[in-house]
Amino acid sequence: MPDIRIEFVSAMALKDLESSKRIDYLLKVIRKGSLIVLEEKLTPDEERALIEETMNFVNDKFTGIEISSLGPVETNQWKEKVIKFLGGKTSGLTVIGPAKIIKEIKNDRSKINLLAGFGGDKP
Amino acid sequence: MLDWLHSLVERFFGAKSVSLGLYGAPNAGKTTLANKISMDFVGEPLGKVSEVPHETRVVQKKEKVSMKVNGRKLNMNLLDMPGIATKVDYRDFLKYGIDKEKARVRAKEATKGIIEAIKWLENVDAALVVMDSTEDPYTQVNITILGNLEARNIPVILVANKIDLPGSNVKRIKEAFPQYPLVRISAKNGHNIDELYKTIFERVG
Repeated sequence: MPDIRIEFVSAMALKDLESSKRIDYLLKVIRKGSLIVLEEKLTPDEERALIEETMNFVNDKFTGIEISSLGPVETNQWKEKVIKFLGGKTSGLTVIGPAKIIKEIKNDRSKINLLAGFGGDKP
Repeated sequence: MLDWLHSLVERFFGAKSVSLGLYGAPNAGKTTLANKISMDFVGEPLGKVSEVPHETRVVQKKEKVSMKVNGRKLNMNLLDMPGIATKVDYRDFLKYGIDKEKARVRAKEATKGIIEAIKWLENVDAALVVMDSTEDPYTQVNITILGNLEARNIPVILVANKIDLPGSNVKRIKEAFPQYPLVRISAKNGHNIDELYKTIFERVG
């Protein structure tokens, strides 16, 4: 059975990137087949951009992503931008991966439960 | 007294007109609900309903829908959005008897529909976020839709649909998103639809 690579990314690692570059980075890793655990929650705008960009890449081999996040929904986008501009990080956690290898992902608001693997039917 | 004042304002200045978007995951029952609203106020359906996911792949519009409730009128453009998803696999359509090439075309159209629905998020005046009450509501799709609408201060009504089905659990939706007004309905048989119309007036009328 092939291995599954998981990349744990600190919020600091992406703090200097604009939103579009952050999305590009995440998608690049996911399209290579890896899972990402990001040490922050994406903003609603970033989540929206991630889904939109993902759809541009969907084909027979790459069928999209599974994503789940923990943390408060911060709808004050300016507050988020100011926090990031000042080098801080917003609270939360995001798990993203290729839909093909994530068989199940459940979020109960305090924890994310993810089952990944190659082949076979979903449980 | 308030209703009388509203009628007076509407008579002189015309009724308010809003773009009402129906958002949600594929197969939540958005088109069934859009058809119900359209049938009730225009007398004709809006789109085709199917058990195959992503039946609605372009934004379906019904303009100048005049909703009348308790003597008040609300003019709206009804926008039935394609279901938003984070993945589209043409192989999922094969089990519905669709051949491979048609399934591939459907998948491609579905991805474009998702992008279109996402782009519309900033252009609606109000939204009904439709959820299948038999399914887990706390999904990233619902979180992303609600987060984006809230960030733009767009009024939202949660619609817990399919309450006629066994396994329907409206409480689960209320617990997942307690900050939004919620109406439980069956778009298929029209159960509690008047409550939804009343809530639309309260939130956007």
